[in-house]
Amino acid sequence: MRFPLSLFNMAHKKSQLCALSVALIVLLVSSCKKRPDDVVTTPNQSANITLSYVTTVGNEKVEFGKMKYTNSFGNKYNITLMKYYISYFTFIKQDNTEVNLYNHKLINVADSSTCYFTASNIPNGTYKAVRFYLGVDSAHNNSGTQEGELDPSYGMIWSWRTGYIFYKHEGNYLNDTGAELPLSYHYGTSTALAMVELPLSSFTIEGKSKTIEIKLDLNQLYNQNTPINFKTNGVRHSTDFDDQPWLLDMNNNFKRAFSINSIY
Amino acid sequence: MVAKKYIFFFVIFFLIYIASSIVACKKDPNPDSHVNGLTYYNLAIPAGLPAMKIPDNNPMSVEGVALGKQLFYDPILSANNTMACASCHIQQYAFVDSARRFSTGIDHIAGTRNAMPLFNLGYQKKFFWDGGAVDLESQVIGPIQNPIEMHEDLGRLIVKLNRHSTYPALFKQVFGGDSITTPMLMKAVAQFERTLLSGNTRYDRYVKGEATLTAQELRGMALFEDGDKGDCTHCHTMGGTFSDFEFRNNGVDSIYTDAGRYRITLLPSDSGKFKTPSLRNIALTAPYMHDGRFNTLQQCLDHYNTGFHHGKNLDPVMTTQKKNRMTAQEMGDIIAFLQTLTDSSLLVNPNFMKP
Repeated sequence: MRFPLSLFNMAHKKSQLCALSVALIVLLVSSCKKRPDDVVTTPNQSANITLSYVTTVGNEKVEFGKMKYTNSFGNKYNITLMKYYISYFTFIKQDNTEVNLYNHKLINVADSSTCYFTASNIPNGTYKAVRFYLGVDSAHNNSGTQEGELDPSYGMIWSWRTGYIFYKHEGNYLNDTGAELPLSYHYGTSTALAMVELPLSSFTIEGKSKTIEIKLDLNQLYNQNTPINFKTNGVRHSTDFDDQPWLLDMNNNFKRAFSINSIY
Repeated sequence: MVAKKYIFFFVIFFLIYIASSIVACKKDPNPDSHVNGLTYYNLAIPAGLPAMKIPDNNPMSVEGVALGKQLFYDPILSANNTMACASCHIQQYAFVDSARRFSTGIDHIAGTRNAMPLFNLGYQKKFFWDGGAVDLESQVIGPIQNPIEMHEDLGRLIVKLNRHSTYPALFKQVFGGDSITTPMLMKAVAQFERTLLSGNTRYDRYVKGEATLTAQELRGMALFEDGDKGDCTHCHTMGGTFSDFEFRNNGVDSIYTDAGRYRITLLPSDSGKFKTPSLRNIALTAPYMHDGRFNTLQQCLDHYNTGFHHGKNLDPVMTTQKKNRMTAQEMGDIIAFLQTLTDSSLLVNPNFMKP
């Protein structure tokens, strides 16, 4: 490192290394431009893949406010707010090699502009699966001042502890006598991180942009596998003594609640 | 020869490339932390305290500390602009909320834990009684959002700050950037809080050979350290911060109405554990324990002498401790020693006052 640094110092001291400085600046500009895509490939050897998340109840996109959904215990419910974190999106090739994004994305279901992100320059090839996490990995979930998608201002952190709410569903449900009660599921903590792996049937990238639409179906989350009973406790913030079984059930359900909706 | 020439040019090219990327492309890992144009804040550590590690991503500047102090005293941080950090952390009471057991928030709802004193914070590993905040920066946004404290939404608060007449320029000066963000707010308040140092007590001067302790205070100091008597130093380490800042169950309850550290780790073995508080300024920070149940130091000593419960998570240090091991005289001596840990200069230090 001594040689290049001394070169820099000389240039910095405005010595006679004019040509060198010009070369340096040219290189610097060109090298910086190349930085964002660490996978350095020419455009037709890779493609930008958009990952789009659609949140549904069955086959219908979530509609906010309306008391129109029914869980498997026969209780109607609605949704007034729904947000969740997707992180560490990974493409898995046929030969098991991986392309990892190490990203975090907050999906605010009410705002379609937040429901997708683009993975740049994913190399051409045949991919057999994608993998991502519902939630925030423990390193990021346990550190303080974070920016971007993990900025604390998005209403997805706990007030009494460091860390993120992974999934937030706020609304109401009707109990067995038809009374409206609050439904407030704030799902998080390290137990809650759910790995989701979705197989792709012969998905190939051939230099052209594509979109993979991934569906989160609330029927799958609440009604299948281990059905979630709002009546047990409609207001859960993940850290009470009796929240553990709920966390585990939700965690298992999350792993099966996502599916590939379409690819185009 | 030709090949050698190519190799030579390649090497030169490569070195220039490396040099240029070092110069230009090495991104500042924390773009808002550069101290360019700011005045370095020289944190003067009192003799009784160890060196403090300042986090790399939040270097202290005079401007940053001043901004943090302004925010600490500004009720803009609460939803209805009525409460500041300083509303419950009052300098004249060593930054606790006077003698209140529980502070009340903007909606006049009382909390369930006693406000902690604010000094020597840069030595602590985790914050709040249960260690819920992993660093001082993260702690800042806890009370702001807590519905029974300042009850403010961070998104709303950032809008308020960005529309303020003076804050945007002050934040820009300290952190750069186009607008105020939550991480900047966290960093600014934490910078001020790190300056709240307290290490100027009669005990500290005694250690330096500049003051004397009375015979009773000296007896108290020996009992404080005596494993068969006070046995205080297992947790309240002797000297320095007078705390190990670990989470321990000191037997105030055997059935836990407040799960304490469990609420953060969800480990059953952490039920009823709370952070060991510092004993510096302890004579100024009544009431005591996480829920402020004891009003006097005598009640605390009585608890450790006879009152503690053998609950299932009782700290190992206490499970083997004999009850009734101290006489009234011995407890009085320990209290006399604890009073030598008072630093009254903290209460009047103009650097910590409302700007």
